Order: sequence, then C-alpha cells, then structure tokens
Amino acid sequence: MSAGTPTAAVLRRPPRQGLAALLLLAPAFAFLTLFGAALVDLLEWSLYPSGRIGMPRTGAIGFDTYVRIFSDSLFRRAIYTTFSLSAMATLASLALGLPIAYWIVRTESRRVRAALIMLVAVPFMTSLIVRLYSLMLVLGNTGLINRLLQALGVIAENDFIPLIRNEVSVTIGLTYFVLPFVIFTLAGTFRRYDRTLEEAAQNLGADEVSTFFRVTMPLLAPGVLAAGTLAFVLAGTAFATPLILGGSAVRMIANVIYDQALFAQNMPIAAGMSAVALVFTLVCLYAAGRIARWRRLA
Amino acid sequence: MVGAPPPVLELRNVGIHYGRTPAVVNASFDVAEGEFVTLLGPSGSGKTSLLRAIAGFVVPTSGEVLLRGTTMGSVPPFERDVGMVFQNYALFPHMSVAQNLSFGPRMMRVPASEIAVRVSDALAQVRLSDFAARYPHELSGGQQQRVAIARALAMRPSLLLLDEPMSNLDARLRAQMRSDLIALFKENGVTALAVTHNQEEALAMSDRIIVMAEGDIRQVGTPMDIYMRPADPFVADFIGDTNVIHARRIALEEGLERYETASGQTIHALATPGDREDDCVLLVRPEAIRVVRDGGEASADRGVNVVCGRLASRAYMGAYIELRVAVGDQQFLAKKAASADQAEIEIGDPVLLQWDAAAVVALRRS
Repeated sequence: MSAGTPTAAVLRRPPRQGLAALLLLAPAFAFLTLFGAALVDLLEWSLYPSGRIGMPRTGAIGFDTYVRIFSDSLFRRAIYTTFSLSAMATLASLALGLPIAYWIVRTESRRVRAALIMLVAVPFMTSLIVRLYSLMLVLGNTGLINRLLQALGVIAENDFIPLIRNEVSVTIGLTYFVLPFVIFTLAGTFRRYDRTLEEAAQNLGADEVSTFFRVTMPLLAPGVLAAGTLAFVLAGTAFATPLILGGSAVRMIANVIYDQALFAQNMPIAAGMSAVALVFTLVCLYAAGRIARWRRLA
Repeated sequence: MVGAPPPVLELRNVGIHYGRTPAVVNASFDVAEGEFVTLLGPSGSGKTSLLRAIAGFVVPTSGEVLLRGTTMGSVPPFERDVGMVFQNYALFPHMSVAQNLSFGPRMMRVPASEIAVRVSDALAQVRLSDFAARYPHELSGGQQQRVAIARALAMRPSLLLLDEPMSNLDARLRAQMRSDLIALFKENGVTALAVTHNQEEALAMSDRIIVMAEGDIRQVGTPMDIYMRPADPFVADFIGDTNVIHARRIALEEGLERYETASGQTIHALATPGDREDDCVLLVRPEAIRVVRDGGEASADRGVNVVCGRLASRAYMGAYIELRVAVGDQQFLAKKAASADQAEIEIGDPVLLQWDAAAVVALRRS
C-alpha cells in the first residue's frame, strides 16, 4: 500500500464479490429469512380451518377463513372502522399539520421554531401509552373538557358529553398519534421547496392563482401525499390507541387480530386478518407510488 | 411623438426600505435600448433590491420605476414586460426544458403555433435544441443557465434582468459564458440589466457600470471610466487593486500639482480643473508602478514620481508578478509582466518605485 493508511486503502478498494462479501451479508440474510419465514408461516395459518398457537395445524387447507372474515359482521366492521377512522385521522392530521409545518419552516424567529419543534418532538418521544392515558384524562366523562363545559354552564352539573370509548375519541387519539410524523414529513418537503420558483412563475406572467396550481401545488403534492400515506398506514395499523381510547366499543383490525390470537384462540382468523392488514398497507403504498409517478411528481 | 423614444428603463429617485432599514437610499439611472448595464457592488449595497423592485417583487418606498416611459407603481410582477434570470436559475423541476420555455408565452396567451416557434427559436439561440425533452436535473450547470436565459427570452421582454448570472458556474465556464452571452444579446438586440459583485465580470460584459455601496450609487460610467477615473476611493478599491496615498496639496507648479505625504514624500499629479481640498487621496494602479533596483539612476523627469522602498514580498501569478514594497509604514502593490528578462530583485533589497504623474488620480478625502 503506497499511500494512505490501511483503512483508507480498504475503503478505496471496490467491493469484493467473493466469499468475504457473502460472509458480511450473512447476518442480514439470516434476519431476512427469519422475517420471511415468520410471514409465510402466518399466511399459511390462515389457510387452516382452526387451531391455536403452539398446537399442530390440522384440517383441510382452503380459503374458508377469508370467506368468514368478509361475511362475519364483526370482522367486516373492524375493517370498515379501520378504513374510515384512519381516513379521518389522515385528513385531520394533514389539516393540522400543514399550517404547523409551514410555520416551523417559514418562521423568522429561531425561538418560535425551536419551541414548535419541541412541542411536536416531546410527545413524539414520550411513551404512547402515557400519552393515551393523559388523553383519557382530558376526554373522559369526568375529564377536563366535560368539567370545563360544566363550569361554563354549557352542560348540566351531573351531565357529560361522551368523548371517550367511541369513534370520536379514537379518531382524536389516532390524529394525535400520527401528527408528529405528518409534521416532520411536511416540514422536510417545505424546507426543500424553493420559493424563488414562485417568483419565476410570476415573472413569466403567471398570476397568483396560476402560480399556485402550476408550480406550488405540483411541487408540494408529493410531500403531502407521502405524509398522508404515512398517516393512513400508521393509523390503519394502530393497536394501543383504539384499545385504550375505544375500549370494547371501537375495534380496529389490530385489536381483532390480538383478540382472536390470544383470547378466542382462533389462529386462522388472526392470521387472515393479518393478511388483510398487510394487503391494506401494501395497497396504500402502491397507490401512493402510482399516483406520484402518474403525475410525474416522484 | 416628437423627440427620442423614452429609455427602456428609467429609475427616478428610487428608495427602498425594509421596515426602518434602508436598502436603497436614492437611485436614479436609465438603461437605453440594446444596452448591457451592470449594477456592481458588494453584498448589502442594495443592488439586488433594485433588481427586485424593477421586476416588481418589491415596491419602492419612494421614487418611480418607469418601463418604456410607463410608471410601474405597484403593477404586479406578472404584468411587467421584464424577463428575469434568477441566481439559482429557478427552473421548474417538474417541467421539461420545452415546458419551462413555453410557460411564459402560455401564461401570456400567445397562440400555440407561435409558442412552438418561440420555444425552438430560443433553444436554438442558446444552442440547446437537442435538449427540449430533458428535465432540468438532467442538465449541467451551464446548460441550466442557458435554459434560464432562453426561458426569459422566449417571453420577448423589453428588458432582461440577470441576478448574479455567473456566480453558479465554475471559473472556466464563466469566461466562455461571458463572451457567449454578450454575442447572443448583441445579435438579438437584448436590453439587459445585470447585478454582480464580481468586478471582473462587470468590466468584461458591460456597456456601462453602475457602482453601488451602502444603498447609494457611487459612480456611473463605461468600464474604462470606472477603472481609469474612479469617482472616489471606494470605487477605486472595489474595481481592481489600487494604492491609496494620503497627501496634502502643496502647490500648482508648471502644470503639475505637487502633493506631500505625512512622511514628507513629494508626489506629482496632473493638474485638474475645479475645486480641490488640501487634504487629498491619491490613487495609483499597481500596473502603473515600475519597480527597479535602487542603483541611484533615478529619473530626473518631473513628470515621473519616484519613491524609495524595500521589497517586502514577491508572488508569481503566472501572467504577472505581484510585488509588495514597504515605503515607511505603508505598503505599495505593484504588478509587472512576467517577462523573461528579469534582473532578480531579492526580498529586502532597496528598490525604486516609479510612476507617471498622469497615472495618479487625485480625489478629495471623503
């Protein structure tokens, strides 16, 4: 080695194709194999008529599980709830996240920016369970909001507005859960967006409306789409939020999987619902990718 | 209409304030048809604010901007007949080169058949006809710059504004682009106003230069005017290197003005008409100074200034040699051509600095 330290020489050498490369990749392959095998095993479970964890699988293989999932109102309801609440949480988090992210990026004051980032980041790094229980204290029948309404005389002394263990509370919880992800994704988009492009458009004769529709929107849309997809997928696979804020009244796909696997001891249904959740996620990601490419935005 | 047509651009006493901070104090100048004018100044001199005011992104606090004789007032940017090439080019990343070029004409509702002609004409002008379908990120920096220029030209604007047009190009490309741009503009009769902090670029490209500092116009003139007859020490120092000598005017003797420095040196300059304060600043360009070994053969000619010093440093710059000579507590900078026949002067050697009285620019101390 004529120049540099041995390390530098190693770094400069092109990647080797032989045995060393295989050895270095072995741990990664082992993990991928493990994850893949687990997934295949799970999907296989959904093809059996009955059984529970730890027991041998018996019976004829078929798609009866999926027929049951899509005909039983309990499961269909869980899928529908998952879709509708995730959609609402996505829209709500975008509505809240867009102005906040814009504010974080555009504010002149460094202190305001730091404060806003802290406000978003602190809950983001706090245990979800703690945050959900604190939300219960706010939304509960004797919680902050109801006591405030009582004090203001909006509702009677011993009356309350049901804000907990229903779809409203779960939607609020899901929004709260996905909001930091949305804000950070959008802030990244806004930071990369070059506002001189708007000046260029105006210089080229585009009024404010044309500038927005031809320049601002097409350039920000991919980021908004990415944030929305992330929010939808995260909300759609939520487990703790519907469990704590929805109780037995609101059950989403993840809760059904948990119940079926551990309480009903019905592994095929749990596995089938898992497959549905997996397809749900993959379809979202695929659709977002397709829309982005179709609009030439990716 | 009688008389000459109005200039393409006219600024009358334009002042621009951001809150209480003045960016431009009072600027008046005009740009004639087919002219290439450069606003030259250090950062914070207000030149970019002026450019943005002309484009309509900033409304002046006072004064008027006139385009072809029409007051712009608060006419929005998209209704001004002004093209702009942004410093970072601001090409639309989601549009192809052709789409970038057709954006302006489309916004101005030019018929589709004419848009196609304009786009292909503009692409041909910047020699990018084969790149119409490419996207900005697939182009080099120089190509992106040419697209930005073509995009502005496709609008056929009365005036083209260029914000630091060369700052994002590497040194070799810069020199090439300079001459290409000038040729393109002159061929097509483009009227342009550029902003730059690069004096070399301003000297090489401009018909006229407007030197700005601290929101004020310091001097307006041809590149030669600005370089040879700077209006004040700031201009002299900003455009190229210069030696500044503080001196008192003593007397007018036989057509030459005699000055004396604090250390008692006598310096002659050509007599110039007009009022003259006693306290003066004398400016001498480094290339006007000859440095010779002190062998006692000093010129006796009154028209030549001679100062003794010691060679402090020498730097070989390729085309020329930069010499620094200590004279008392002052240092003189001299440049001489790096020719072959050099009697080597060693560092520390006594030397004579000689320059013609005609090479001295005398200014009132500001």
